[in-house]
Amino acid sequence: MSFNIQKNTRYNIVETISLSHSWPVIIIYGVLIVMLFILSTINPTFPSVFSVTNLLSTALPLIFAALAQTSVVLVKGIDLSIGPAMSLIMVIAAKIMKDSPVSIGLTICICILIGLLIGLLNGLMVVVARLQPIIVTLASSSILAGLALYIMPQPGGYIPAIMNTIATGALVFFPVPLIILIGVLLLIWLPLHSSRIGQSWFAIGGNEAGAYYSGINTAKAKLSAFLVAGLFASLGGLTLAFQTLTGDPMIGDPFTLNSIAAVVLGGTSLAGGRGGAIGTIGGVLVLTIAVDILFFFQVSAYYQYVFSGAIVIFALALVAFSEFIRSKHFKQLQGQLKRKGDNS
Amino acid sequence: MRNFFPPNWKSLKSHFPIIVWPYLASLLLILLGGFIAPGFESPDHLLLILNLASFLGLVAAGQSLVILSGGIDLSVSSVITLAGVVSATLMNGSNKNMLQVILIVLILGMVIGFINGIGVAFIKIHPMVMTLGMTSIVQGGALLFTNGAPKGSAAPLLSHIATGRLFGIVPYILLIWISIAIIIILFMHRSIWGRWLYAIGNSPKAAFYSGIKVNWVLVSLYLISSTLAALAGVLLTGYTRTSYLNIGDPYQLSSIAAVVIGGSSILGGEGTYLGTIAGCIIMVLLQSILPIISVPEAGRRIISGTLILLLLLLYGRGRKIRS
Repeated sequence: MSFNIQKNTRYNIVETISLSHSWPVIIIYGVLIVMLFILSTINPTFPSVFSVTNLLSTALPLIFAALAQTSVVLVKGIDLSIGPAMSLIMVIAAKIMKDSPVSIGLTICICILIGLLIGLLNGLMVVVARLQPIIVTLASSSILAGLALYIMPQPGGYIPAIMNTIATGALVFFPVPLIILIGVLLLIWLPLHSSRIGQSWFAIGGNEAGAYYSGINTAKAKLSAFLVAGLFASLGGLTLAFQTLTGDPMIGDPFTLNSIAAVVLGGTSLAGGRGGAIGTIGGVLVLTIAVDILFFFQVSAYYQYVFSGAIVIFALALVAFSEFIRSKHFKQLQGQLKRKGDNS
Repeated sequence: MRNFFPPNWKSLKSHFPIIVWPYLASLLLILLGGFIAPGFESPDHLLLILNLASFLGLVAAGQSLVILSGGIDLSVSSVITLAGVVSATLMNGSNKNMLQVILIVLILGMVIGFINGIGVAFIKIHPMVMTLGMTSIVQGGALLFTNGAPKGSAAPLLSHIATGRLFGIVPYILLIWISIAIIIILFMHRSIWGRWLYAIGNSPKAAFYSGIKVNWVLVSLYLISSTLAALAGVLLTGYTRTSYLNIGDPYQLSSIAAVVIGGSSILGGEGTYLGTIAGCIIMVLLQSILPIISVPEAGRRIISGTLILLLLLLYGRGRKIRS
């Protein structure tokens, strides 16, 4: 009895791609390329250092929010507190940052620590208290939004202008947001993804009880996912602060739901266990560029709501359809294996 | 008919141990409120609380059903807003076409819920994403309809229904809530449909293999949820007399919170609307006690978030993996 699938079933290229786990990621990057093409035809300044920097700095806060969401969604959770966490970090940064380099460095460190603390508390409520992530983060989003409002009832505060120049500028030919993005991917996501903990996220998302019984420390892994979410939320909040040079206690609110939309667009399954940062970044870029294109066609801002909702639903319908095809293929495959098993 | 309506309340009784908690908590909050501000526990004030809870109760009724099936409906907020602005604009302060407008708005809610249901059940889009996308679309629709500046006001008759009281005591809107609550509890616990609901919430696959038309039951749930949200939107417009573009926003998360505080499992298959009613009352109590002791907005959010967490720690904890 042999299980050599390759020998007996030949798939053409379309089937091979559709059977691959990264199928949604491939779709989203295909869409992204088409959108970039459209953007370059309608926007004469598009493929330039300036416009790419602009695009990426618009996308960067949502990218961080979505990366935070990705790590939690991978372990079958969901984080509704990302937006308020970003607001909180932003107002803290705007409150305590001064002009000196020491103060800037210290503030960034404090903000990241606070982000990690938020992640830790969320994670402890989920892991130790065994509450559902969606409810824990719903409650903590209320708490964090309250704290942000308490620290800064009105938008205000001060961030040194130099930070804006750094955060949205370009180093010769390399947009700084791109450098930050690549840095984050190489220094945080990649090591995590290839570590034991990162791999256990996928195991937990796939089947938590199964992961537990195969000796994975599920508590530690889930906690780490929330910690990473807190880390990325703090980076997102800092980026927002640097870009706007103020603190705003309400600015983060839309990021929570947008991050979920970006994550699912990028092919990360809300059922957990499938997806990753690359797809998520693609999802954010598609959402951002879609708004850009609508802006260039001078579509009313009201239609933008309609379109962005429709894009998300349509993309998800596409993914669901591809899942349907996949499951059909897998059934065929299983049938073939079964027949072979019966024969031998 | 006997097949459709099982002859006992067994499925409701099994929930009693857990829904005792939210009722105890709401009682405690009322006593606390009376302790802080004398007169808080007076029947008149409690009726006012119930009046306010009715709006949330209507929205949370649909949410409760959807969550029971293992889904979630984030689009209620935008449906409330759309219903509000559409009814205010079309009524424009006259009684003439009130019934037609209410009918139109309810049908609008049904259509939105139907599309949600089709997306979730047949196209198999995750409920959170489907209703999130729908929120964006409906919000855009409300903006387009009003062109950014809502006009008009509710019909006087509608305002009378939303703010008036029967014999000067019982708010009409409370009566509407009670009658809808009775219908929903009846259907949840004494009809086959209710049993299907619990079966789907526990395991959609098992429900499917036992011959339940899972997809159509799901569609019916989302349809009910959006329709009730639309009804709440119309009544809310009557209550505030005008409408604005974020009238529904607070209901998105507080309806979910009310359902969960009421002892339902967010994963589905566990809970009852009787608990959600207590959850709604708790949510409204929290929102009305804190302003009395002049806690600012920031403190209110912090305290209500903390209290929700504490309540859930009391009775909302999951099982260990081992068990």
